[in-house]
Amino acid sequence: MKRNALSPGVENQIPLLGIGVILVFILLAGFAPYIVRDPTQIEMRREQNGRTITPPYPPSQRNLFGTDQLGRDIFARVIFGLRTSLIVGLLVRGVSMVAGTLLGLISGFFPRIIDSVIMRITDIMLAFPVILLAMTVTAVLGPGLVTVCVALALVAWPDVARLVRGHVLSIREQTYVEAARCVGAGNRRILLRHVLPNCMGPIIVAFSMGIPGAIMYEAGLSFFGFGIQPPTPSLGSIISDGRGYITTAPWYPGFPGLVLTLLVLSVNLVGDGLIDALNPRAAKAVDSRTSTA
Amino acid sequence: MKSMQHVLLTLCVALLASLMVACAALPISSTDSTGAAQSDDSQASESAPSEGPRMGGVVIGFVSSDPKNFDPAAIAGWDQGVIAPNLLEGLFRLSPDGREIEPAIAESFAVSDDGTIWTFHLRQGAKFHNGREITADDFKYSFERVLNPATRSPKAWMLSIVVGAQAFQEGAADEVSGIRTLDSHTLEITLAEPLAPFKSMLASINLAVVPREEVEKWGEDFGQNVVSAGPFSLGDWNLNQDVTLNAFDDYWNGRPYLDAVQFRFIQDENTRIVELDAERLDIAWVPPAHWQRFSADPVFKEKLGWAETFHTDFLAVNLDKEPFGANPKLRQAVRYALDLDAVIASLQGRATVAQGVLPPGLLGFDEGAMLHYPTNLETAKALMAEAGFADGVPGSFEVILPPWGNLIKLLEIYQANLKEIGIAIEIRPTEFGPYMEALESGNYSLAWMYRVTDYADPDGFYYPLMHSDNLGSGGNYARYANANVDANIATARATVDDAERAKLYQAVDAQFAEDLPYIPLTHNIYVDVSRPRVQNYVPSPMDTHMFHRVWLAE
Amino acid sequence: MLRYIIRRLLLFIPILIGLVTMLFVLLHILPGDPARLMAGPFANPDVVETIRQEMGFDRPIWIQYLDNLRRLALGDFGRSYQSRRPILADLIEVFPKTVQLALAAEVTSSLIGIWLGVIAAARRNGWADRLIMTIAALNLSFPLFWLALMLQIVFAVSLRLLPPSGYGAGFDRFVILPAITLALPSLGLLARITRAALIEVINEDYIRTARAKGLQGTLIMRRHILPNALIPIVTTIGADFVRLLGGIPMIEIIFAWPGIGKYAYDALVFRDLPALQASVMILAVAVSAVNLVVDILYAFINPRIRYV
Repeated sequence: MKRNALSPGVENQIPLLGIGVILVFILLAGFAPYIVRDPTQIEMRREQNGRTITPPYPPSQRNLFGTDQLGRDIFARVIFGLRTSLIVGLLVRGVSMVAGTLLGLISGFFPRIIDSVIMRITDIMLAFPVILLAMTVTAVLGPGLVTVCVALALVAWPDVARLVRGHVLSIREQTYVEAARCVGAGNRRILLRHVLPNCMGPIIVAFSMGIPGAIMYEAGLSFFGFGIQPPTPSLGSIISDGRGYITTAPWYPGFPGLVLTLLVLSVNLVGDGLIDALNPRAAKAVDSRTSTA
Repeated sequence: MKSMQHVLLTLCVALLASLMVACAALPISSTDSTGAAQSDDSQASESAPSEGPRMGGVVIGFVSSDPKNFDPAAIAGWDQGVIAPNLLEGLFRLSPDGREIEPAIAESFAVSDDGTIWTFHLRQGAKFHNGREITADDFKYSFERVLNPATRSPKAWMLSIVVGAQAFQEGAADEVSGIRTLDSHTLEITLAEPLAPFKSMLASINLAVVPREEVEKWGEDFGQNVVSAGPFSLGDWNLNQDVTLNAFDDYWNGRPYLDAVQFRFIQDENTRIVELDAERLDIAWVPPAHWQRFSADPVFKEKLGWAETFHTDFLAVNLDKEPFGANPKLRQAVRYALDLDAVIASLQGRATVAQGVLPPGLLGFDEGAMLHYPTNLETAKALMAEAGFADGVPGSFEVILPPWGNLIKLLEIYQANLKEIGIAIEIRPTEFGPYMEALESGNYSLAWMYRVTDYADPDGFYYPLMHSDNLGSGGNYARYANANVDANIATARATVDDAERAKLYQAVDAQFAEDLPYIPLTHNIYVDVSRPRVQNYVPSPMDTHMFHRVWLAE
Repeated sequence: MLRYIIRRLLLFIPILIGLVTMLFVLLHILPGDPARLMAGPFANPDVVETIRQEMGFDRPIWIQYLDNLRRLALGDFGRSYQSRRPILADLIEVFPKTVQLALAAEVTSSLIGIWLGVIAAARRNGWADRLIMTIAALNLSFPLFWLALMLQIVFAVSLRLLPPSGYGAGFDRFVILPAITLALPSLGLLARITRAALIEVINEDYIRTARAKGLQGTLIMRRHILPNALIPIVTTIGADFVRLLGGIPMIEIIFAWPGIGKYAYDALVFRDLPALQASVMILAVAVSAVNLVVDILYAFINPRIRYV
């Protein structure tokens, strides 16, 4: 498997494809205001062929992806929704990775008491059903983009902490750490110079593999009305709002659904590529809890 | 090359997925055609009413979640209210269309000239589900049970006007002196002052009659084992799944045609439609996404059940809060700016514009006497200028509302409307508990709200919403206080003559149109669809669905 | 081994106390007054006050907390605020239904997922491998509520093969659609993990030896490769089962499945602390039991793992 990371073989062109899709999405999301019109513009009546029709309007030149039940352009909403979903994915994963890594390092490296306190806390968090915990936290903090990110980061860090701790435990026993200690390196130096760099592979993999989970959980929260609040669209909330229209106006949940699927697929492909490139063993360490919703 | 294959493969699968979406759209039209085939049968049975109602069968209806409790003293939720009138009955009941109050266990009644002494003659032979005959003592017991603080009934206030109720609640008396049994089938209730809507209140399921022996037998579990006197009795009940009501053979007004009604608990509105399409559910609420389809379908368009509910949606304004509370002109401007026709279009016509507090169909409703604020941005802007906000209101204002998906969509329309006249609102969906607390405590400045009445009477709107006695948690969430309005509402409550009452309410309406403490939005129309085999079913404006006279053609 | 199990069970007590404490704190800072909710919409403040006293919500927080702990320690889950029903009776009804659904989903996804993973690994880089891996990745990329509705429309409305929602005892028709919905993403994950684990083992020296000995492909797969790749697979199945137990209120709502997910969700919305904490405790116990079983399985799969 290592071979793939070095040689320009077939496999690592697929992650490149994923990276390409993600880049396109990031560009679209970043320049959303310049590409599409206002995603909150309502249009309740439209004259067409001499008669008044009501939304949802089917795809046309004017609305590439059609409109929702308020006559808002789905293409515009998808682009802006992509923006929200990417922010959620990166922010949630970023925050939970930093917190989880920090606690994992401390837990794995410092004395038993600290270790067991941190591990009992992760046990408590892990015993709590994910979506219920996220909903409770959102309800406590009041709904909104930041809240959703905080809630999802809060449920995601324990997995990361465990993963990192596991690696720290094995690295701690390696000879080069012993050697560093022998030449008088302090804890901080050993952690930052020797332990952390050797954990980076699995951490990066876990980071990328967790993004789809965060995006999916945001969609799940939207389903319960605990998600990001209107009029800000997110991919999850558009699909959740439109899912009843799947038979009567398939473009409404269909296009955002395809974009979400494409996004998650690409991130997964990139994650696979990273696993191959960085550390084949990391594949096992990625907990399923973070990769499906 | 191989990577190209992989890309192609991925695309193919993605296409397949999208095809699945497209195919999913097709089956509906095919069910339509099978539906059309069935329509001949159903029309045949409908066009042959000489056959008359058929006995037997089970109708499967829905509510969104498990009602958990049918104790009349405890009922307060929507899911309970939909089902309960089939189980519970008191002195009066609502007609199946929900518009009339009919005598139930009370065969006849008389009111003294001063309107305070009500005498009820109970029906001979009316029975509880356990077979025992109902007597006047049972009513005295049931009413005192609702009043008893130990019962914790949310509806005890309905009887607080009875003489001696307060003394009983405070523990100063063992019984309510105003409730007397003259003989086994005659009940006399004395009110502290005349109360016109009292009859409507007595038709409320909360004042249904219950047998003491069963209440005592079940204790805390009575709510799950209710025994009362309605046309159906409680049958199998599977937690979070379904509840079955069985026909009550000894119902005083004749056994129901159906053998049973089953209510399934289905929270997701799309699941309900899927269940209906799969012919496993007989009745479903029509969500906006499926309106077009059902209303255009030759079979189903005949099976749409309409109910213009006694229900008004408002934008409530906290009158204690600047700037909206302090400035009636500003509130009027808001109303002029709202494109209610667009909102109704988004509800596919399933609502009417609210011109005042009262929904049509209740006493005192008079279109001529109410406000008429057509949507007009020019007028709205002129009013904004008059109010001193020619350039719009600075800042942005939260509108709180319960977190219901379809409702949020409506608020998004209002949000866009108000943006046009320079008012920025933020939609703040709030869980039901905290939402009600904010309304009651006054910790809000703008709120979407609705009012349904507990009893089919205009008093159920005017008294809680606008009387200053009810400021805050009593229902006057706007904190509106006007001495004239108070006097008119109080007089109307105590007036038995309908024409006179109507006049008083219209005077209140005139003042309301000027002050606009609540900005009226719409009256909802509830529309459900039933399968062709369901006959004689009508949803009621009180959100109750009566199955006593419903039958199945098959 | 027995000592190990007992130690694990003892370790579980502080976790439960922690859970209860966390829930208690969360529910008390949550906006929303249970007494107010119990009184129903348009309620009279006197009634709310009566309920508050009756339920003891007017006592100091720490007394409520200790009282709550004491009752739980005595095994008294109390009555639900919402229905006034004994919670234990409710849980006995709803929890097995969730286990039933989760088991059905997990068994399906394990059987199919491992099978697909084995095929993909055996035909590594062939077209079957690519197809399977693409499907696996796609399965992980659909929002569940979307998948659920599609399955309902196709199998229940168009084909009329299965009931779209509802509950049936045992492993009958009702369980099929929700179980498939839940199994699809698990299946994708499991296929990927299995493939990765197998490929890693295949590259080990002893497999080459076996192949050099001339053993048949399928025999090598069954005798040597699969047993050695089982640990990551079992880990994944365990973690996935845990997810299914705790994370499916959405599926239970869409399929009107009367399980503990929906029950706990209702309890949260209603601020029904006793019902919510009892549900979470049961789920936590179940999660730990699954984890314990997984750990014990490790010992069977790989006798070199010792428990102390």
